[in-house]
Amino acid sequence: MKVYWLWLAGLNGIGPVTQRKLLEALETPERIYLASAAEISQIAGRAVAAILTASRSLDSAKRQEEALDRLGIRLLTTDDPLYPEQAKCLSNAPVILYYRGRIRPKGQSIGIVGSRRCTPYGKQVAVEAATYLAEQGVTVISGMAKGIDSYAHTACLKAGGYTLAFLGNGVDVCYPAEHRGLMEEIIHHGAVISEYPPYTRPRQEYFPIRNALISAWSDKVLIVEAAEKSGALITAQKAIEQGREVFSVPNSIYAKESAGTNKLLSVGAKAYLGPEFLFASDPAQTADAADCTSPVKPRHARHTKKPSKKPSSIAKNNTGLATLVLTPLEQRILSRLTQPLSLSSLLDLTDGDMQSLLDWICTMELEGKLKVKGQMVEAGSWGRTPK
Amino acid sequence: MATVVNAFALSGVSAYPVAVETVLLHGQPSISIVGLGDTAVKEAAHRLQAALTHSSYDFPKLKIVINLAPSGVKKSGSHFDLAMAIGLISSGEVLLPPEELAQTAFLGELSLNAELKPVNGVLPMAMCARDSGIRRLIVPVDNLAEARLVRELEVFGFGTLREVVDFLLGTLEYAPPDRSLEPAYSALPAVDFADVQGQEGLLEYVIAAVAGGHNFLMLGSPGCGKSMIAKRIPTIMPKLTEEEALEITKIYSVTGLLRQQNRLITERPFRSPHHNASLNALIGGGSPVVPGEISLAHNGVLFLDEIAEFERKALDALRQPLEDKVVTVSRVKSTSTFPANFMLVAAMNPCPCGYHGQPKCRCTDYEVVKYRQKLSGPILDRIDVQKYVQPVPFLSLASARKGPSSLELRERVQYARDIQTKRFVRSTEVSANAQMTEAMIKEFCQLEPDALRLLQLSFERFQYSARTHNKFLKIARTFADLEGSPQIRKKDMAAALMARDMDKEHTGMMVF
Ligand SMILES: [Zn+2]
Repeated sequence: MKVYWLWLAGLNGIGPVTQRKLLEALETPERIYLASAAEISQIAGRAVAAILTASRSLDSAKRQEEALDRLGIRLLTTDDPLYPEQAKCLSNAPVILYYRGRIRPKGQSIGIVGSRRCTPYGKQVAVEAATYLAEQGVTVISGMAKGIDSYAHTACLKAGGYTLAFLGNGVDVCYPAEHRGLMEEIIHHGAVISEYPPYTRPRQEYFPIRNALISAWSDKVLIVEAAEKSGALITAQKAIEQGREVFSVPNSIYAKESAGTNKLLSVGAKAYLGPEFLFASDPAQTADAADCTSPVKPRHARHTKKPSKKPSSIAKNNTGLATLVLTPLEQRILSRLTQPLSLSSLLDLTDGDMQSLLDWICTMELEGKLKVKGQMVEAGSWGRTPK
Repeated sequence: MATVVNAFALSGVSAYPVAVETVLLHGQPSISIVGLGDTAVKEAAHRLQAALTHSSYDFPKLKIVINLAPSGVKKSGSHFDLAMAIGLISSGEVLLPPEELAQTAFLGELSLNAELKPVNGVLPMAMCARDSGIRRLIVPVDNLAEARLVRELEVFGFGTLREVVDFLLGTLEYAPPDRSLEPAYSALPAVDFADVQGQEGLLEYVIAAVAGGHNFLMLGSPGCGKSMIAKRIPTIMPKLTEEEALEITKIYSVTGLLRQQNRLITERPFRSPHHNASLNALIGGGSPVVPGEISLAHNGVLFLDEIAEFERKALDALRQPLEDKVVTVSRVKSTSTFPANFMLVAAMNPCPCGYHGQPKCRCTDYEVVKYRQKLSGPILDRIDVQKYVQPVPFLSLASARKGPSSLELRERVQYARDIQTKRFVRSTEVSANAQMTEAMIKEFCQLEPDALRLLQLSFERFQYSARTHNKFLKIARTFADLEGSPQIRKKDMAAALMARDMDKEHTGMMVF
């Protein structure tokens, strides 16, 4: 019965640890509600028994239940098979989670987190990783914050993937407000999840717990960009504590956006050198580390899901082709692009004929051989050899 | 019997003849001016009384009625003063034989000391004088040069009412003022594209935009050279025809902006209103109604720097003129139409911080998209070419070759324009590729097979909208015209496909 779960979770002064102790002993919240003070006292001590005896009213829980129905919010309880075993290893894992959307049976899941004010480099990495994971049928988990988080969710959804967002506020609240559209999409094609009841506004102190949930639900965590002190680093810290495999994206040692990620590398996080690296290690080992409570078999089966055919994969499809059919001029253009160059600085390659240069550049871009950003031309990602 | 003196009234940028009829009737001494004059016209009564007294003419102690015919049309301005004064004096003594008076027209404002003050709109009024068979035009001396732009007229300029009367009576010999009376023609433009270096990639699109009549948007960080390029765009537009020059000069004349120069405007105008400019200043309006910036940019360039900072209602007001090439300003009792056939050149930062695409930008995609949405869809829809402007590094500036001169670029533009003139010879509405209708696009934009393939590939890759499709075709048509190719070749399509940086970037925006 939902109402007893809501009653249990709403008890003032009784945290998730005690709630779970009671649940282990009495199995259901209803039995906890019906149990005598003596029984409770025996399980959790006299103080807890006193609180329970004083909180026999179900009124508030009933009101909450109505609100949930009205808002289309669902409840994920620890006895629900959809509540992943590995997420329960968190000592203070909430006994109920509120969510909107659809929670699928736990498949392979990777968390992608990073700074809110990220660099174009960070965005590129997050988008590439999330797109790849979506195509592999891997769940992308993040926190719906600005910057890296939102890029991970968005790229995953645009590639037809499944994504979960953990919030530091009620799931009826959109924070930051600019993600209204994103939140709708996540609810349609994934779920937004929170341990906080509806109407809860975001607060600074809620975010560390949200971060711990991200890593608890993930098999592996990718930290894309993190400054010295940042929420992404807290997620990394929690992930390490929970025995998750942590990947960190290397970057310049002078960039302050990557002080945290580079530091993670120095203390043993795995270097992320491309999406394939997320699967480079022995999957069995990874899953063992992730599963702290039960011997449930890891499902790498999902891993083999066929990648969806999307326009974004044109570049990849063309990779082989591109290497085969480079003309001498294309080779000369590409050999110059060790760094982004302006069109003007390539003009000598066509003897000053701008229209002819535009022809080459445009065609090469459409074949995935390079990228044009305004007046600047840069090497495409097709050249990076995976593995 | 009424004395009739010739004058003119302004409507939009044209003038029409007005007969100033004066009668003196027996009755209580009074003066009334009828014929739908505005306040400035009605207040002429006071100026007339003071000026006539000052010049020691008798102000008739009778009931004076002055009618401005046609009397059913609203009139405004103080330039009727001189004609009314002449009418009043003529009622007492004969200044000119009637047949000569009928061939003379007067315009000018009187001060209380009977000096002649310059007025606005002299050029269209002089043109109207010529067209209505007037032989002689009497104007304030400060308007003399402007009036003389109309060569078929005898124009006389005077400083005071007394001089005018004496001249008419033949007691004063006309002595043209000392300063040069030949209408001055403009000197060579002060700016040239040769000053723009290292922007070859962008220049190709500037040329295409001008050549095909496409409006143009530049995206770039502060100080990257957007304004420098915009200012030079008029210098590569086709040379003004005399008719176009007169159109422009008339607009400046009625706005009162010609007096400092007193010359025919022979350069294409470049107007760059600030984003704080009022709607009236931008579009036209006020009382009396004067043309706004969009008309002052007629036959030239309207440059909206920081276009995202303009108020939405100001940008929305640009839609109709962009479509119709004229602007109609409606007031309670009158409607004025001004020409407004300008090329819209706009510039904006690519994001709130201004440095999108460069490593230091930290704006989120949502913030970037929201910022760009300040440009309303209808305006964006009328801008075919949208290009990033890259700042040229100082070091490469030193080594860059000198850019091509405006004169060379103008020749390329003219070449493509000539092709279009032939293409659209049957159409009255369309004169350039940018204005092509759907049917014309079908007729004139024949793609070679590999050009079509490129276009299809690009749509798959960047998921452009259907509206964008036609834009690409129009721009490709212009690129083909620049090289005189009847068919749209692959290279023309390629160049066109790179003409919309903002649209292309939008595909990669991680927002819903
Ligand atoms: Zn920015």
